[in-house]
Amino acid sequence: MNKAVQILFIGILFLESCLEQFPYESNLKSESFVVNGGINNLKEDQVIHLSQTLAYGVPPTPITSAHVTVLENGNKEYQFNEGALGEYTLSKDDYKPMIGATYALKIKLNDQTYMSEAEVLLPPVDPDSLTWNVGTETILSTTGLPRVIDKVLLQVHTPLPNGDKNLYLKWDVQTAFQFTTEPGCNPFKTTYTCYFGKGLHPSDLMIYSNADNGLKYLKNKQIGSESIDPDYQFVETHYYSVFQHRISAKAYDYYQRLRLVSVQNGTIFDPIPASVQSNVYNLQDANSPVLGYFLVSSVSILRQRLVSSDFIGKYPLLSKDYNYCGWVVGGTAGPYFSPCCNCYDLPEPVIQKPDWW
Amino acid sequence: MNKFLTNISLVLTFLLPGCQHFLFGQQSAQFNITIHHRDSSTLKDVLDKLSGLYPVKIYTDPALDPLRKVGPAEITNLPALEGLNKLLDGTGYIAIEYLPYIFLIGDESKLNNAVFSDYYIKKRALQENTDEVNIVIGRSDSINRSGKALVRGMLMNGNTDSAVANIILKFIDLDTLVKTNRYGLFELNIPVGIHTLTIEADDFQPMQRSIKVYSDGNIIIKLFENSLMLPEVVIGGSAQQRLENAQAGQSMMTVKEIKRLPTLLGEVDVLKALLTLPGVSNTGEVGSGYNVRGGNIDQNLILQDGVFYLNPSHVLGLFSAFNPDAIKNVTLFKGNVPAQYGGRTASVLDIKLKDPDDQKWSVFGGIGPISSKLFIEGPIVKDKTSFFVGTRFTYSDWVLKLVRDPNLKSSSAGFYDLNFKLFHRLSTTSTLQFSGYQSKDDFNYAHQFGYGWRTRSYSATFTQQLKNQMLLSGALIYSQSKNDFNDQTTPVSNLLQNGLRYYKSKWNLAWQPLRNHTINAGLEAIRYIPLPQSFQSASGQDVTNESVAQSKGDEAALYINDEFSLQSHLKLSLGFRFSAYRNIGTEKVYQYQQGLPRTAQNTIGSQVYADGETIKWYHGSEPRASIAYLLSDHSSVKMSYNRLYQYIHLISNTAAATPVDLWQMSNSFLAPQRADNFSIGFFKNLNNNEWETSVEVYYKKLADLVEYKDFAKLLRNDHLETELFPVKGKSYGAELFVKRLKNNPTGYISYTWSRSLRQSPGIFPDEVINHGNWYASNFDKPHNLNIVFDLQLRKTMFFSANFVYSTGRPQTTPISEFYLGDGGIFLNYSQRNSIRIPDYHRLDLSYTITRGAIRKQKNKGSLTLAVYNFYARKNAFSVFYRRSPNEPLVAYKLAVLGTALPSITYNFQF
Repeated sequence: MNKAVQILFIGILFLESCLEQFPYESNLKSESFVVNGGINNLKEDQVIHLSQTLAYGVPPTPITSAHVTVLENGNKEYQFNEGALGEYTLSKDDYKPMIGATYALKIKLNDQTYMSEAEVLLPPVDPDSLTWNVGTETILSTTGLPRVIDKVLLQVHTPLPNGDKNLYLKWDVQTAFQFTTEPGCNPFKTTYTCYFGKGLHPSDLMIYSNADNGLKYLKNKQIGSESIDPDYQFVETHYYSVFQHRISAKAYDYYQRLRLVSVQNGTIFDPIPASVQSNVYNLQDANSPVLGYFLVSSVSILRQRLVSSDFIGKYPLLSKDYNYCGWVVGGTAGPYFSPCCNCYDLPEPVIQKPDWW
Repeated sequence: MNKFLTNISLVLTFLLPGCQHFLFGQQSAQFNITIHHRDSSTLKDVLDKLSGLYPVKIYTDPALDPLRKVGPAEITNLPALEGLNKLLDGTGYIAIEYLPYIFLIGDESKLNNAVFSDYYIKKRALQENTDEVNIVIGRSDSINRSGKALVRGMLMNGNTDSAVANIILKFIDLDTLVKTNRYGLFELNIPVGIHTLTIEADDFQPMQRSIKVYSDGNIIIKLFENSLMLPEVVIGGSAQQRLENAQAGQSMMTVKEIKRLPTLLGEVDVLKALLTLPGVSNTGEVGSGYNVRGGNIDQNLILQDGVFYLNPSHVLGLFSAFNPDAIKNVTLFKGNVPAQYGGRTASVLDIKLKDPDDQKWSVFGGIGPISSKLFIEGPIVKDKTSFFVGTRFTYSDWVLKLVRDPNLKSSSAGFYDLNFKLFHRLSTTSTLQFSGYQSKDDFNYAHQFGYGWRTRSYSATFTQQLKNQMLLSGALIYSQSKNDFNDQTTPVSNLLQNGLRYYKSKWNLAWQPLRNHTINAGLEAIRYIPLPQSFQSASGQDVTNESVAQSKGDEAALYINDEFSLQSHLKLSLGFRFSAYRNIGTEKVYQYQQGLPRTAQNTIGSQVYADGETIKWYHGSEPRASIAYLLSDHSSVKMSYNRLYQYIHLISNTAAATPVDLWQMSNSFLAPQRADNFSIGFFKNLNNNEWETSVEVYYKKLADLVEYKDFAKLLRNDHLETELFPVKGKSYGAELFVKRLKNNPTGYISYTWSRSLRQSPGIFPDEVINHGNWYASNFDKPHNLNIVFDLQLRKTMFFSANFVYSTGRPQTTPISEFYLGDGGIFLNYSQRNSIRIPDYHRLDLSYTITRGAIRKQKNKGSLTLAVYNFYARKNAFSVFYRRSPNEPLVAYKLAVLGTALPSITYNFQF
């Protein structure tokens, strides 16, 4: 259910409900160990991030000098190497996960040992296709007022293996786009292209289980959405990369809880939030708080490529093949838009041009 | 007029500002006198003459010279006191009115000295409190030697001058009742002396009077109809009753207070009125139910004519589910609960529906901005069979149609409820009645999701007056509540339904062997049949149906309650209730590995019980005791202790309870809740019951409360017991109450300081909350203040205000953020209920104009202008946290009613 609409509904029904920002400051301390990462079947480096939270509003601090290993089937142990601050990597050259094997994470930090519950790397579930359309969604603006925005909505279509009623899926969606500078804008620099990419917002955390209904085919499952505003991200090539993870029931439960606390609306239907229990434990002190999850998942990837002409009939404002910067020869110059001269001015996370582009 | 009336020597009518009108059969202090004597007479002669002419008592100072001469006087039709003082001109004496009909004469200085120091207080009280008028029956110089007097009377409708039948007159101090017959007549023998008479009758303003009986006599009492067409709703009784009542912890309000409280959108609401009383609170403007003395909402037994209701609200708690038009009276037991009641551990709200008028037809109703109501009652066969039917319904959809948002335009919301009662007099000593209640609520948002709930209840009640002051009553009840939630926003549309139905029978024998001695004994049996949780999901042509069976149970109880006075100043209510419960099949009961956390993974087997087969027994003894010790006529101390068991539990783990929550019976894993309630209070009435004050403190010890594991999955869970665990609780607090009942303005202030705490004694991590320390319950709000102010501007106009303040409720809050996955930022939450949302306060105002109530008009109406939340405070219902894309985390405050809400309501009667 789209709970955001509950607020609107109840509000209007009662003639005048209102939301407003609330100046919140917490003096409660939180020193929790955070594990972020996992093992998957992709031919990529396996990465674990370790950090520690301190307090509300204070970014977690990376944890260094930990000894991180993964146990395969309880007997083989592979060590992660510390790279960037708080980042531990198991190179794809050194290790290849096996479908059907169990994996558990073990971390030694000072005199403390952390261990995750073992999870099986299940066979992947490959989606049939990824489709998209343009729709609207009501969100809360930072002023607390509901706002209707135009969005690209992504749907996945996935056959679910027959007879497997307890199938759990999770989707991560990454978005990437390119933006090319205008010729002639900077006489000292020729035109060039920047690439940008990011994961979608956590409230878009998408999971699914057929445990309730035993469905055999999942159709039109919306697994992500992205606002069209700003629209410069769609004037050239735009990609959506969908990572469909097959995860364990335990992992599903974890993400379900995380989702619940991420989409609170303040209505009477909100579940009471709580700290979401990790699957990693401190072996010396069971009460020692640990956050995050060591995820063992098999991943299938689908990509959707969009260009502005794809919006014909779906979103007229973008369907025109127009020059965003307005520097058309003989045309009227648009307002100055600095990324037209230097695309790194865009406030988006810059990435290297992906291999699959 | 009949012969009876001819015996009445004099009738005077008092029109009392603001409320009661009263007619009685003796002269009052406000009569006029006429006396002429041309020559000087002695003071004694003049006073004797006056006493002979008028039924007054005049006391003179012993030092006064009775032979002192009084000059010639021409006093024509002057008020008694004024006339007396004119007579005394030149004598050096003055007269004062000590009490109605009683005058004192003496030196001015002497009358002002300490001997009469309370005179002015009394006099002022009498002057200001003009509805405090005594009735004098008989002559003071002819007191019956038997010590008893035969009082005959007639009760009349002051608006229509017609007799009022079947109304009970209560002599509080005598514990004696008398009922008017079909002609409005009554007759009884009562001791000579001063007594307190109260009359509470449907459609009439309640009346309480001091009545002085010298000898046999007759009276006519006139009751006047309510100045508003709003219903008579009485919570509790008179101030003196409350002071002397043996029941500790009874919260009480008068009829005026409820109907005069400013309303939300014009709806008179008994439950909202309860919230102004000390010890009663809720979690906010929405949410089902209310909390009493730190108890969960499911710990309140809410009865309407013996039928208990699981969801007492409409519109997610904004309005009460009970139609005030149909209500006769309401009693809230929050301290001692008499043994006749059981099954809940915090309080009992006993709502009695009115008996339909078996003499005349009435139609009344009201029109408000989003809802209207209509109530019809009347005789089918006069004096024998009568009925009422009342309904309330919304038409709020028009509000949604005004909104520009297309989703909201296509949404709908509404409710209705319907009450009916058929009353039949089988004989002069027995009655039979059938009553029913039906309600339906629906919310639907843009064909995306919706909630609905409906209740149906029917009851048949039989009463038989037996010999020896015994009354037997029996009831058969059927009730069903159903709710559903539908979600059409996913590729798979879902429909989830659950509910509960029950059958109940209760038989009670009330026996009054002595005047101050009432025994109630009886038995009660309930069969609970929860409806299976049914779930239907549909994706295209694929439809999946599933259902999860719920625990069934039988509850039975035997009880006896004895309320008596040991001496005139010691009243006791002693009770004992034995309750038993059995969980019965059909049910599949899972078995779990001993020594391990109770989880679905640790299931080691299951046992299936056949239909009706006993799965688990529980039983408990429930002693109840309450003592009232009268320190004086104006003050008392009350103490109570009682133990209560509860076999039904509301399973709800949301910010506030919702109507679509699940009710679960006790079973192999869910033990009955138990409460031990202690309370002590000091009660004092001041200034002849003008002021009522009390201080009560209480302590509750609670066991086997239902608590939830973090993120408990409560719906469609075949292993529900794995999500629940028992905790213990305690709540304690102090309640202060100051109320002005008489004169103008009236009102009250109630303040409660309280705590409501829980502790998890579990050993498994999932069953330990806040490291096993005491933590605040979701409704722990230490400070609660209510101020109610009521000002009668004219006889037909009044103004009311209601101010509410309470501490913000506890909430669990983010304490840090962490990264997960590909840059997603998530929140880490604190221990449970570690902060509080902002404090709540609100001011409501209302102004009412009535017409037709004072004059003898058949058609009456009232117009109420009300503003809820006058200064438009955006009270937080909750605080929550969201992160928009590329934005920092933002905390939001949700105010459900974040602005001033004006309303105009017209009530009519004809």
